[in-house]
Parts: sequence; C-alpha cells; structure tokens
Amino acid sequence: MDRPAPSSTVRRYMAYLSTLGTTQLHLRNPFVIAWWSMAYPGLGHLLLSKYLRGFLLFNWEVFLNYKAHINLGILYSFTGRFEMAKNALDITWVMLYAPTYLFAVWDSYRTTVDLNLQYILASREDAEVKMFNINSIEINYLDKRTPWIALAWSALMPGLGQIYIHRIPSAFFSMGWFIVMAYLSKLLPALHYTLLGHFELAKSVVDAHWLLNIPCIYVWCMYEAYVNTVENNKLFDWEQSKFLKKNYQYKYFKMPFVR
Amino acid sequence: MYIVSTFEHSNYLELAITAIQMKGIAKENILCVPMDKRSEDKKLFDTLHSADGLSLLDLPIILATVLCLLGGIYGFILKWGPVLWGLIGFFIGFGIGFIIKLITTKKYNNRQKKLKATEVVMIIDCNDNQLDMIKDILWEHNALGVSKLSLG
Repeated sequence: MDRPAPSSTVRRYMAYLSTLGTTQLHLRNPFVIAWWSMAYPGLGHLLLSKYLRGFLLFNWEVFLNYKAHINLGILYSFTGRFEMAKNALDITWVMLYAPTYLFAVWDSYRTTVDLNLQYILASREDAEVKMFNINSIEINYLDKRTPWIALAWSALMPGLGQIYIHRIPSAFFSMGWFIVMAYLSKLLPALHYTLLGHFELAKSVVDAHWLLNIPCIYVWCMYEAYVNTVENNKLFDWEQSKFLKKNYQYKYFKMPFVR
Repeated sequence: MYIVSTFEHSNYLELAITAIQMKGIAKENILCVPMDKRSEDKKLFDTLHSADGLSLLDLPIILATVLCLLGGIYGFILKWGPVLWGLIGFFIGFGIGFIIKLITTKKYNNRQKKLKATEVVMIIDCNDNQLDMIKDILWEHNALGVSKLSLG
C-alpha cells in the first residue's frame, strides 16, 4: 500500500508517509543529535523519528530528575551553594540517574551514524516513495512548506509547528509536556510578574525544578519543526523529480535539433 | 514549434502539466528535465559526519539552549529573575551562534542566495495555434520563465 510490497525487490526506502506523519531518513550530524540527548534524554531519539525509544527515555528523565532533584542540584551547584546542592539530591534515587543518561547520549549518537549509513544505501537504491496517503481519519501528503513558519508557530506554542508539517506524535508530545511543565513551573505567572517589573515576585512564584526543564523542550520544538520542514521539502523535490523523469521523458520526443 | 519553460519543484508544476494535457497536448510531447542541484549532490556523500543545509541553524540553536538554561539558573540570584535572564540568554546565544556561523561559512551563505534557481526545465512540442494558450497556462502556474522556440 504505502510501502513497497513484501514481494517487491526493494530493500530500503527513505521515507514512509503514514496517517501519523512523514517518517524520513536523512543525513544528520551525530554530534548534534547526541547534544540534544545531553540537553534532555529522549530528544535526540525523537529527532530521529524513533518515538518509542524517545518517549521511554524522556519519561524516564522526567521521573528520575523529579525524584532525585537533579535540577535543583544543578541550580545550587551553578550558583555556588554547594551545601544546598548536596542536601537537595535524594540519595535513594540519584545513583540510578547516570547510567541511563549516558546511555541515551551514546545510543542516539550511534543510532544516527547507523541511520546515516541506511540513508546512503537507501538513496543509492533510489526506490520509489508513495507521496500521498488518505484514509478515514487523516490525509498526509508531501508538499512544500516554509521552514520559518513552522519555527514561528512552534515558538508561539510548542507543537503547532509540528502540526503544520503533520508530525502528529511529536505534536502530541510537545504540546502535552509543554502544557504540563508550564503549569508546574508557574511559567506564565512568572512571565506576568516579570513583564510588570515585579522581579522578586516572579522569583518567588516560580518552581525552579520544573522551570529548568523548559528551555530545552521549548527550543527543541522550534528546531524539530524547522529541520523537518526543510527535509520534507527536499523529499518533495526528490519525489517530483523522479516522477517527471519517469513520465515525461518520452524516448521519441522530437528534439528541436537534427540528430 | 516549441515552448521552453522553467519551474521550481512545486504542486503548481504538476497542475500546469495536467492542465496542458487536458487541453489536448499528448504526454509524449511534453519533456521534463529536473536539474540536479549542485550543492546537494556534492555534499550528500561528503562524509558520514557532515549534516546538510540545515547546519546553519545547529550552532545558534545549541548556544541558545545552553545560554537560556544558564540564564534561567543565574536568574534566581540576579535581579531580573529567571524568566527574563532565560530569554536574554536565549537571544544572546542565538545571536552569537548565528554570527559565528555566518563568518565561518560565508560560502554557504552565497549559495543560499541562489535559492530561486531553476529546478525543472520543460519543453513542450505544440502547434502555432496552441502557443498562446499554453504560455498563459505556464505563466498562471508560476513558471519562472517561458520562451517559444521556432526553428526555421
């Protein structure tokens, strides 16, 4: 249907358009992906469209960071309050943190390298991709969209840029977690007081632990929307060019010069 | 009689082709030549570790996140609080990253300017009396350039 039939000779193909979105192989810089995993475990995997791994690692991070008070430890350490940092960290949880954190970074790096190889092989195989998917609940198709518009919508509300380019799993993820974290961190009251110039009030109302989660997720949403718009556009060009070569290069076309 | 036109890849190109076919031009009389793009094909297989055109945004966004986080942290002990310092950090980080990227990859920037390059060349073989009709269709569908070619 949307994928090459099991009986076909195609081994690798570089994109799949499903109801939930366009999943695509493309070249990625492994250091950039690893860096996003360092910023927040799971985000690197989500950029690779490896949603299940990404959600697992992300939710693990949310839970363990909360239980072990990692963010408070970071906050107090960076501001020179080392005794408070020591007291903040919860020893029942903190040692569980490091292995999975490092795994997330390492695994996203090596997965990127592997997927880059898969991409190169898939692009050499150059198999066709179905560019249109319609069913009873959604329509997904390749189209040209503007990267900066995707970024701008995600800047206004994380997840909207993802909806614009039809990436439903990451749209759910971004909107859901951003709303939860904005609520728990009291981001908006703090923003309100900051804009009114009541800085002390803003500081006292905000929840430090949850607030420190926000920068990574917020910026990531803009980045993800932008990057995927660019790549979807490239996929569109590639698919259309393939279609034209196949259908509009008739062997006996009367060329305007004598052979 | 030939009509040569150039397009960018878009849905309008396919709309133009199908509109012309509906006017009675056979598929066999339409020739499309999609152009390989210089930057992409050269960079594509460069190395496993190099990303592609989007690397312009990578550094700015990384620095923006780092400084946003640091701004949020030190905001707790600075006067303006974590929200404002987080935002200040974000913009400073993004600005620094962007400037570094612009300086270090000037060449990349020049290539970006040619974004409206021809991506597809289309040649249509038709009669004299179809000429204007086809030209109109092509212009209506965002052709970058249209020209007739009559030899002899």
